[in-house]
Amino acid sequence: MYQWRKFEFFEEKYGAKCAIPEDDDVVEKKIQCCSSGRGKVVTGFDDGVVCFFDRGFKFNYAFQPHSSSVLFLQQLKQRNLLVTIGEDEQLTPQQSALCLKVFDLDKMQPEGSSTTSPDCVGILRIFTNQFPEAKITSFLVLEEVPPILLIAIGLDNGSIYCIKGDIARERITRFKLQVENSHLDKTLSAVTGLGFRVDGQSLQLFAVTPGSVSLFSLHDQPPRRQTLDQIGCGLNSVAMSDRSELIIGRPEAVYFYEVDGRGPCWAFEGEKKLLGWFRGYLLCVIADQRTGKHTFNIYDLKNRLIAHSALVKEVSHMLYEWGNIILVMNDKSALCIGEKDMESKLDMLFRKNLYTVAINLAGMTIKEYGKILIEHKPVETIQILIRLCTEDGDKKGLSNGVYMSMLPSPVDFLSIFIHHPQSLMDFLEKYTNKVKDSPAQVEIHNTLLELYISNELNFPSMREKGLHLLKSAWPPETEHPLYDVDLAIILCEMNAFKDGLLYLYEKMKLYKEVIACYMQAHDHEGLIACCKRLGDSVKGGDPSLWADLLKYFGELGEDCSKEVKEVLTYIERDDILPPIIIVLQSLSRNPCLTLSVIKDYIARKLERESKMIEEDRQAIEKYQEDTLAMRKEIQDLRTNARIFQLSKCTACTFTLDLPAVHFMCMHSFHLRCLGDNEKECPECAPEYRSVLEMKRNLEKNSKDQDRFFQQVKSSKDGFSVIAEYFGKGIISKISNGSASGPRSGTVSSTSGF
Amino acid sequence: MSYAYLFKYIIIGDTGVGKSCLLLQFTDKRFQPVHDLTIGVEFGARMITIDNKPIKLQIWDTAGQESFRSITRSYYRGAAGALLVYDITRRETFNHLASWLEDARQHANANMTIMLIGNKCDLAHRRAVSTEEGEQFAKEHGLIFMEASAKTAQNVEEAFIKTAATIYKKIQDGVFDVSNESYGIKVGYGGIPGPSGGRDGPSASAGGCCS
Repeated sequence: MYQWRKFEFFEEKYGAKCAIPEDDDVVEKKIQCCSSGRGKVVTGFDDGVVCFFDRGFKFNYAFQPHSSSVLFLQQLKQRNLLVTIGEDEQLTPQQSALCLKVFDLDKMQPEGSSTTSPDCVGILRIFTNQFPEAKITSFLVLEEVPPILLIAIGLDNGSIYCIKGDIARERITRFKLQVENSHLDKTLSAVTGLGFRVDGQSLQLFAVTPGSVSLFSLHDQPPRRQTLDQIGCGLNSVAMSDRSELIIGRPEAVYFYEVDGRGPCWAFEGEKKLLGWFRGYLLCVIADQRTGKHTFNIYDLKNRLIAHSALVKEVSHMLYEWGNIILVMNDKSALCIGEKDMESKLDMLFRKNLYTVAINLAGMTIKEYGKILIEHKPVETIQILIRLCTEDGDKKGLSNGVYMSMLPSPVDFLSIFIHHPQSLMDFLEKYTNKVKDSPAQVEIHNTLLELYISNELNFPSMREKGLHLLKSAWPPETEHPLYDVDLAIILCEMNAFKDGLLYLYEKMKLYKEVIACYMQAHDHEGLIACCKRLGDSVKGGDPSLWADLLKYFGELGEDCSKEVKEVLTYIERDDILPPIIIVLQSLSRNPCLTLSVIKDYIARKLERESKMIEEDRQAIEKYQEDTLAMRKEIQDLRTNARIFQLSKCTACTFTLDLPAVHFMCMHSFHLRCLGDNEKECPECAPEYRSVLEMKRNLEKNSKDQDRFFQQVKSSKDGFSVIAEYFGKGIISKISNGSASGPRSGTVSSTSGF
Repeated sequence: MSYAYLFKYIIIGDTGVGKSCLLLQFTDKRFQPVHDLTIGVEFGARMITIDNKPIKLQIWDTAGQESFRSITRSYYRGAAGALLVYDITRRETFNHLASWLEDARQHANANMTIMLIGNKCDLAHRRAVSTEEGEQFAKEHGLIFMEASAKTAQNVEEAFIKTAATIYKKIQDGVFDVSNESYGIKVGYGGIPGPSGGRDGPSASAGGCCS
C-alpha cells in the first residue's frame, strides 16, 4: 500500500507521564466525555462529577452537576460557560432523567465548606411531550451572538432536537430536524456527528449518520434539508476543517464535504477510530485491520506528507488545548503532542533534500504569521521574505529555471503588508533589484506604481520614483510595458500625477490626450512646446494638434495674444494650417483677442496668396497661348499643303539628293542616312516617345488608387494633388477616347521615285 | 466568479498515465516531473470561455490504482465529461481502456462526453501505441480522441476545451435537462436558462425522455 513520506514534525510534550491524576476518587470512575477551552481540559465522569485540569493536567477543581452520569459536555469559548447533559434523579417515572445544564464558570458559589461549584444559570429537560425520548448520540453547541446559544442534540432515530435562545432567561425555542430516513435498520439512522457552518448571515448544520450526510439550512423557515451523500460514518469520525468543510472518516477513505456536496477524498485505509482537524492538519486514529493496533497519524494534505505517525493505546477522546493535541486514552492516561518549531522542521527537510516541500512549508507559515512579523520586526521580515523568494544561498546543483519556478512568488505575500505600505515598497524594491525576470513582474510593477503614485505615502521623491518606473519598465522597442497601462493611467488620473499621465499618453501616441492635459493645467508654454514636438507629421506626429491648439486659445476667454502670435509663427513657418479661414474661425471666438494679434499674419498670408494667384494666372495665360499655337499647327497640317524646301540633310548636313525622305516636322534626310528606320524622324522621335511614355505612365498610375491616396495623405496640401490628377485628365476619363492629341512628327514620307 | 455553466469532469485511467499532471498543466500551467501518487480523489478548477460564455470546469482527478477503483467509481455520478487517459509508451494502459470504459458506462450518466487522451506524446521515441490505434479505438466506442503531452502542454488546453465545447453543444441541442444537477451541469448566476423553451423541438424532446 502506497503511503506518503513520513516525518516527525510533532513531538510529545510534558514527557510521557501525562495523565488524568489518579487520586482515590478517580480510580474507579470512567471518563464519559471531554472538552477543553480557555486553558482548561474538562472531563465528565460516570458518577456525575466534572473535573477541571490546568496546563499539564494539574488538577484544578471538581464539582458535581448531575446526580449520576455526565454524558456530554462542552466548554464554550466566547463566554466562560459549560454546557452539560447528564442523568439526574427522576422526579416522576414518566419524565426523563436527562437534563441539560448551563454553568457560568466565572461565578463560583461556595457550597459547604471545602468544595466550590460554579453557578448553574439554566436547567432544561431535553425530552418533553412534543420531543419524545430517544438515545442521544451526538451533541454540539454553537455560540451565536451572546447570550444566544444554539444547541443541537442528535438522536439514534435520525432526529436532531435543537434548542435556541437565552437559556439563563428561559427565552428559548425548540425545533426538530429529521435526516432522510431511508434505512429501516435503526443503527444506520443514528446521528453520529454534527457540524455547524457559519458563513456571514447563513447558518448551516451538517448531520452525519452511518448511511448519509445531510445539510440543513437553518436560515430558511422551516429549515431546508439537502441530502449530500448516501454514505456516512460511525461515532467519533466526524470533524470540521478550518475552511468549514465537513470531514468524515470511513474505512476506505476520508471524505470532505462542501455545502454543495462531496468534495475530495483521501484514501487512508483502516477503521477511523477518531478524526480531528488541528491547524490545517488532518488527525486520524486508525485501527489496523489485521493487527488491531491503533496508529495516530497527522496528515499535511497540502504538502502530501505525514507529519507525525505513532502507535498509540486505545484513544477515547481527542482535544486541542495549550497549543497541543491531547489524546485521552481509555486507561485515563494522556498524550500531549505539539508541533516542532519551523527551524527543526526545515532542517529535517533539508537533510532529506526535499527543498520543494521545505519552501512550500516555509511560505505557508510566513503567509500565516507574516502580518504579525511585519508589525514588529519589519526589517528582519523583509530579509526573510527576500531570501525565501530569491534564495540566493546554496542552489545545490539545481538548474536556475527549475529553481525559479519552485520559489514562491512575492505576490503571494502581498497580503501580509496590508497596513504597511512602506515596508511593502521596501520589500518589492529589494526584490526587483535582485530578480530582473520574475514571472510576476507585471504584478510587482503594478503594486509598486500604486505605492509610488497614490498619495498614501507622502514623500516628495515618490513621484519621481513612479515616473522612473513608468519609463524604465517600458523599454523603447517594446509595444507593451511591463505593467498594466490602463491601471497606470487610472492611478495617475486619480492622483493627479501629471508627469506620469503625459508620459503614458505620449508613449501610447494619444497626442490629443497629452495636449488636453496641458490645457487642463493652463500650462501654455508646455502646451506650445509639446505641439512643436508632437505636431510634426514628418516625425510621425499629428499636425491636427495645431488646430486644436488654436481652437483652445480661441475659446480660452482670456488674453493670450503672445501665445497666439507665437503659434502663428510656427504655423506659418511650416505651413501647417493652409486654409486661413480655420485660423480665423478658431480665434474669432475669443473676445480678448484683438485683430492686431493676427493682422501681420493675415497680411503676410494674403500678400503671399495674391502673389501665388498672380503667378498661376500668368501660367494659365502661357499655357493657353501654347495650346492655341498647337491648334493652329494642327489645322495647318490638315488643310494646307506642306512644301519641303530644305536643301540639306538634317543628319549629315550635305546637300539633299534622291532618294530623300521628308517628314512633316520639316526635317528631311537622305534615305541612306535614315538607314532602316524610315518611319519616324530621328530628330523628333526621342521627344515624342518621352511624351507618349509619360502619358502611358499617368494612365497606369490612375488605376493605382493606393498610390493616389498615399500622395494625398503625405502631401502638405492634398488639394493640389487632386487638382493635379484632374489636370492631367487622369481621374476623369473624358480624354481617354480615341481622339488623342496632335500627331506631331508622324510619318508622312515622300520618296523621290 | 460568476459563470454561465459549471461542468463537472472526471479524469480516469491507469496509474501513472499522467492524470494529475494533465490537471496541473491545465489549471496551473506547470509540469511537475515527480508527482506523488494520487491517493483518493482530488480536484481542480478553471474558468474557460466558450461561445463568449464563461464556463467553470470543476475537474475531479482520481487515483488510477486498482485498489482505489471502488472510491473512484463513486465519483462518476454527476460528471458531465470524462477524460480517459492512457500512456502512449505503455501498451498495457491502452489495453485496459475497455475496462475503464465499462466502469464509466456503468456508473456515469449515459450522456457523459468522453474524451480519449493518449498522453506523453512528447516521448515519441518510446511510443508503444500508434496514433491510428488510438483513433480506431475512439471511433469504435464513440469517443473524441487526441494525443497530448502534459509535459509540453501540447493539446492539454485543447482537450479540456474541446470536451467542454461538446458538452456545450449538447446543451444547446437540448440533450440535457440542465436543471437536473445529476448530469454534472450547473447553471450559474451569470447564466442563461437552458433551452427548455426549445426552438429545436424534436431533439429537445428526445433528450427529455432518456434518463
